[in-house]
Parts: sequence; structure tokens; C-alpha cells
Amino acid sequence: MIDFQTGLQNITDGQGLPIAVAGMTIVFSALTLISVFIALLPHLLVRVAAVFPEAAAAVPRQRAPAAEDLAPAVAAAVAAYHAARTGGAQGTG
Amino acid sequence: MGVLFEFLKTTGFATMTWGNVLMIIIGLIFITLAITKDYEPLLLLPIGFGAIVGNIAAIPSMAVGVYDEGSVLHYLYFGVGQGIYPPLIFLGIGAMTDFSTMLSNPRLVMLGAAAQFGIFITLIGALYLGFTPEEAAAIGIIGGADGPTAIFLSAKLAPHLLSSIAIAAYSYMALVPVIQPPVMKLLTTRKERLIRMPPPRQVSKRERIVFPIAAFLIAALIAPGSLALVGMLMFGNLLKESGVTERLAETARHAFVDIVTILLGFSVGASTQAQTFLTPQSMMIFGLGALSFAIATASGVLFAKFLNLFTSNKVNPLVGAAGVSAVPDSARVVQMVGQEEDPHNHLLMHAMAPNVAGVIGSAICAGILWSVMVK
Repeated sequence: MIDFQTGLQNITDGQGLPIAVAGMTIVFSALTLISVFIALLPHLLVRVAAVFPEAAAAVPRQRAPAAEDLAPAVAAAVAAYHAARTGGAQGTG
Repeated sequence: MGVLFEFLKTTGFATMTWGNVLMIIIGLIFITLAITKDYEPLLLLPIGFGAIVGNIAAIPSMAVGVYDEGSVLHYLYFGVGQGIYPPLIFLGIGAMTDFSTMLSNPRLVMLGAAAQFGIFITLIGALYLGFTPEEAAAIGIIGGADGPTAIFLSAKLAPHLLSSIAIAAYSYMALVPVIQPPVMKLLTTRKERLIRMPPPRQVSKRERIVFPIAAFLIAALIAPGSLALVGMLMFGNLLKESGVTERLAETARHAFVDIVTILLGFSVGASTQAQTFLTPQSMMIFGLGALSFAIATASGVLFAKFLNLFTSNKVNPLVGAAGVSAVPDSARVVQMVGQEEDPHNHLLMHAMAPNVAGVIGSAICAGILWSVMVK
């Protein structure tokens, strides 16, 4: 059990005031630096963007169609051609 | 028959004290508050049940409790006692946090700094009451309104007070909607509470990616003691903002943080054995904790009023109360108090800026106090 003895002397002995003042100064300094950095960041990024432009929304590159991908289309085209020749002759001849 | 009598002596009934009964009742109150009032249920429920578990007294030769070497609870508590869980929680918080509102209005960061005043005033109060400087620093950090930070610093500076400090910090975080509004209303006029703030600007992806790296460097270089907390917070945020590690960010902000929260809450609760918890120091810690929350709230509000003396673009002083880092509860309280005056005034977004700045600020304070106290 701690023997509690209250008193202002405890604050002096424990360097309460110097710790509090130094602590608040450091916290304010750190967050001020962060705040200043945030304020400057957009301006900084404008300069960066001039050298390294931000990539536009990426459009997926289309690969060249493979022969097997075209097979159904070719088959449909051939079928349509034959149909047109036979049907077309009936219609126009 | 002799065996039966011997066994009866080992039951919890035989070894229970009135202190244990009281702690079990407190555990039940926590569970009730979590379920019926929705006060921080993710924390109060595990802590409450942990308190019940931790106060079933076993015979000394059985390794059962948190403080018994080799027990399961002892291993679970290892993460609390060594300050491992808090940085892991911060990873999850980072992966959840959107710093956009803070990035769009950097002056609100200063409100997060002002609210840390509560930490240092409480430190002085604790010294006055006779606590050692290390204990006073650990108690003071309750004013940061950040449970993980309070646990982290207590584990480093005053492990024997850890359970009291953790319970005080989380209890007051749950009571933010009760503690803060009277202080906020007392220190502001109706006209001030009606101030409307312009909507935040759009923040670019590059800003959101650069910020966690730069903020970590600034904080850790100034206060290396905050490295673990701020580092994990910013790492989690980078996982979120990079856009290329969405799977990791998703895990960090859901499953991962949930698991650590369960372990932390339960083991902190289980550490509240009456024999170590019900002491005059604990009562003083609770008193100082309430004081530090009130001072932190007042400091944030008053600093917002101070800022308004120099700027034409006024800040609603209520927003200053969110500088205590109880995320997002204090921001919600700001919204609630603001809407009592003007139901169309939406302060939540603005309040999130000092709220997340407060998280960074209290972690930096922990780092400062740790480095000052460790000799």
C-alpha cells in the first residue's frame, strides 16, 4: 500500500510543472508541424504532378483476339454467307 | 467424506470475499450498460464478463487467475501487460480511419493538440495526491481518452495500476455522452453553438497516401516513444489508402481488430481481481480520470474559441470537444449537441478532424511521458 501524502511539494519534487509545460510544448510543436505539412501538401503535390502526372483512370488494354476466340464469329459469318447465297437467290432471282 | 470437504474448501464459494462479490456486480453493471444503453458495447461487454471471470477466487496453489504464472488467463494478459495489444488495435483503427476531413482543414489539428492539456493537468493532480511521477504520468494519460494508449503507457510505467487505469479510461470513454455535453454547453454561447462551417474540400488520393508516411516521420522523430502506436496507426491507414492492399486493410479493420479487442477487453476485465483492484489508489484514479476528461473537453472548446479570435472563417467551438480522442464517440456528441440548437447543422464531419488528430496527439503524449520518465 502506498503511503499517500498530499501536498504541493510533491508537484515540485516530481517536476510536475516542467514536465507539463515541456509536454504541451512538444505536442503542440508536433501537431503544428503536421498541420503545416498538411497545409503545404496540396501545393507540393501540384509541383510533383508537373513532373510525375497522376495516372488517369487506367483503361484495361485489349489484347489481340486469339484464333480460337474468332472461331464462333467465323462460323456465324460462314453460315450467314451460305444462307444469303441460297436465301438471297430465292429472294432476288 | 473427507475428500468432499476438502473439495468444498477449493470451490469459489469458500474463497470468495465481499470484494469479489462487489467486482462481479460491477461486471454485471458493465454488461447491462453495454446491452441496454449501448455504451461502448464492444469494450464494456468483454471487460464486464472478464471482471466476473477474474473474480472467481481459486485456491492459491491452482494457476487459474490472470496473475497466476502459467495460467491461460496469464498468457492472454501477456499482451496487455507487455503493451502488445494496443499497437495492434491502432493498426485496425488506422485501417478504419479516414483522415480526409483533417487533411481538408489543417487548423482543426490544433484542437487535437489543445485537448491533450487534460493529460498534463491530471499528471500534476496525481503528483499532488502523492502518486510517484511514473504513476502520475500513467494516470494522466487517461485524459487522452484513448484506452489503448492508456494501457500502453501504464504497462510501461505503472504495471501495478494497469487494471485501474484501463477500467477508468474505458469507463469514461463509454460515458463520453454523459461527461462532455455539460462542459460543452457551459463554455459556449448559443450563438457559438449555431456557427456553421463550410463543407470540407475534396482531398486527392496522393495527399491521402503521403499523409500517413509524413505524419509518422514527424511524430516518431519528435517523440520516438510513440513509434509503436503512431507507426501502427499510420501503417494501417496506408494499407487503406494505398488502394493496392485492400485485402490486408479489410482484415486489419474487421477480423484482426475484433480479435485483439476481444482479447484486450476480456483480459483487462479479468485483471480486476478485488484484492488488487479495490484499493484507495483505484478510487483516486477514477476521480482523476473524470477530472482529466472534463479538462480535456474544456481545453478543446476553449482553444477553438481562441482560434476564432484570429480567423474570419469561424470554427464552431463545440468541435473542439472532439479533440479528446474517443473515436468516434466524442465526434458524435459534438453532432448531437450541435443539432440540439440547429437540427440542420452537421458538425460530425468537422468533428472527425480534431478527433483523429487527438488520437495522434495522445499517442505523442504517451511517447513524451515514456521518454521523460524512463531514466
